[in-house]
Amino acid sequence: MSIYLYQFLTGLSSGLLYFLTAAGMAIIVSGLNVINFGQGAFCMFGTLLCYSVYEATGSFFLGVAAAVVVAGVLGGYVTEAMLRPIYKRPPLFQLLLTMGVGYLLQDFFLFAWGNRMISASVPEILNFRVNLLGLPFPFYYIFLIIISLIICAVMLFVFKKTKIGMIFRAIITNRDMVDCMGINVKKMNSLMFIVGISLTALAGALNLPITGTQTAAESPVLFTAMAVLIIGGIGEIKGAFIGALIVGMCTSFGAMFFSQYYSLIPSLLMVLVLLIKPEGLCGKKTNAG
Amino acid sequence: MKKKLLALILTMAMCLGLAACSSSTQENTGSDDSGSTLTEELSETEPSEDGTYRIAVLMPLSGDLSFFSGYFIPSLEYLADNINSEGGINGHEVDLIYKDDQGDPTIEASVLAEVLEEDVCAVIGPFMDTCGPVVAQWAEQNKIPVFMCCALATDVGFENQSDYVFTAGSSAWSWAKVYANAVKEHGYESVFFLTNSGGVPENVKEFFWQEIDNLGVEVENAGEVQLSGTETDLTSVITSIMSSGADCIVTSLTASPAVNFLQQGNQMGLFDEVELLGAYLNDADHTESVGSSYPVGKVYSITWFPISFDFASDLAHDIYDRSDGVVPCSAGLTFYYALDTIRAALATLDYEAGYDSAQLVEAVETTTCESVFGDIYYTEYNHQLVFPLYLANTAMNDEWGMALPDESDYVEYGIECYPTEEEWVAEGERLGY
Repeated sequence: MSIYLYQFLTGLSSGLLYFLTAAGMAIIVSGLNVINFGQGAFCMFGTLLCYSVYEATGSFFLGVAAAVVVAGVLGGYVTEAMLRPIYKRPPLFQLLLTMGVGYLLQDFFLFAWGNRMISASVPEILNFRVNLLGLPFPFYYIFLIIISLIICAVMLFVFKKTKIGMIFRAIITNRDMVDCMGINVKKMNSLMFIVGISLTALAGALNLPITGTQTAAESPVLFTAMAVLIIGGIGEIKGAFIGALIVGMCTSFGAMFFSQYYSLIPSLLMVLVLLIKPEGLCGKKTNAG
Repeated sequence: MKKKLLALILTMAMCLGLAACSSSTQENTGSDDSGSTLTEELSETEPSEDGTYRIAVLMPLSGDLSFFSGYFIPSLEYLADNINSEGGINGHEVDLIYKDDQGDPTIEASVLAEVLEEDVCAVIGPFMDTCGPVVAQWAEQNKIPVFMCCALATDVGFENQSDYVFTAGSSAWSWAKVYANAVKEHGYESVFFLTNSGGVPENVKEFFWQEIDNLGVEVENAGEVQLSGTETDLTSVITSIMSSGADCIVTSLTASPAVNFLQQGNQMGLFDEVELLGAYLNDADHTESVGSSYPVGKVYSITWFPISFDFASDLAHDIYDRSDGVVPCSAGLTFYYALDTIRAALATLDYEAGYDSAQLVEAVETTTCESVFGDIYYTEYNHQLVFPLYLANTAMNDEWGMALPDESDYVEYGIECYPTEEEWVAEGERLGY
């Protein structure tokens, strides 16, 4: 029984970390109508920034905060200086631009951090195990679950209960109407991009003691986040949450029962959803053409 | 709905098929084009006109795998400088010509075409297993001896066997024999296999179970996972190992997947109950990357360069002092010994009188080379570099400031774990060669 609980908790923590990245992407997709192909690079940026600050100061939490802020500022710069001038162009231009930013960042990582594996240990204060029905479970994973759920609740609150959340929802529903009402939609777009990037950088930073990163390799996060978005419904935050939990749980229990093929699970789920409900589990049906 | 169902079944079948095929396709890349433009005219390879021994070195100098070269180059440069400062080989200096193959079999042929223009007497490399077949075929066609620093799956090795191909890299079969012996000696009852995709890890697994049978030990197969190489979050795999009831994991993981596995496994308490058998895992590059999360004392690993052992210590310090702060490791020593065995063979030949590549091959086959491990040599029947294998536990080493092979807890397997000529021939016959 305890091993099932163990598997459930690892699935939950992985799923919630996927959610942070996928939610960041979903906010950008829904607000700006563009898939940010540089999202994986921003996630790596979060990991690397956290690592450097953690190394320099000895404080993991300072590292996490620095990753969120610096990546957010960079995200702001990208949207203001690069994306804004091409808002009127077809979405393909913006998509290519985000891809270019991603490549640029990858090269910067090599230049700044060198070609190596970056990893760090769990901060001492979180580095212990708790007994779960007889099996020791690392507290850091429980910490990840708590942090992710708090962020999820905050996002829900901001989106549903605050004025800025209302504007975000209005932009997602009808951007032109919001523009007509005198709200600076472009500024709001930048804000959504910053929030999306910061969430991804946060996921990257929190992942530092678990997976670390290889500076020369492309971040595998992008693929999983895309799978989560497609399963849940592109541009749907609720969908990202559900998709992330499905991917996390299926991968976790899949490794237990089909260990040879567990890594195929996200792709299989994605294909399955595309065949049965192409708009995603929480996506709204749109009439093409 | 029927169409959807059919499409779904076909897609799933395709995914499973692709997964099953991934290992075999990797081994056979580039089998047709080995970049040969000159064949017979270069079969009489002689020393270069400028009076040096020019030796090409294939390694990833750029791309995802380029960080490996940081380990290889200091060892090679150290040895080349030593040879040259002592007057070269019979009075002629060694000139290493580095070629960047990015560890990519699809560009290896064009890199080898460049090597042909360089008037080299031998080639060291490649490092990546997948590049091996292309280089082996090139060596056979051009009659230029190649000293591979990778491993080849046994069937690929037979397929590409050539008088001109030597392997200074690892031998899957010998690793499997070491692991099987260790499982017997440690009394493990249940083994979980964790591998990368590819022919060599498959070989390790097959030979391991074959050796377990030969040893007559009762060991349960607790399960296996084959990673594609891109996974970074291994928590699911770790919990599945924990639930399998295994008391031992045998792994062929190296580099970043191994670092992730060691780190995450230690966080999750995997090594409280399970011990790990692997290769290179307690080597400097891995233990330094994992840092304080390394499961000290729980990892037994085959290491070709136990820098914390007395007999290897001086060489390790010499290489470290000449490098840019790169701690030596086994992979670096593979290149070192590839060059050293070439040196030993060339020293037996008369530069002034000239020689052909067949004579160089014969010299390599018949020359032993001194090393910190004692005499090392290539077997005549499969051209595998043979030197004693060590399976060592891990301990914290204060001098280097990291976990390293434990000099007080190791087993030297000597050269008995390499396949004998009879075993090699029998395996060749079994595979139809």
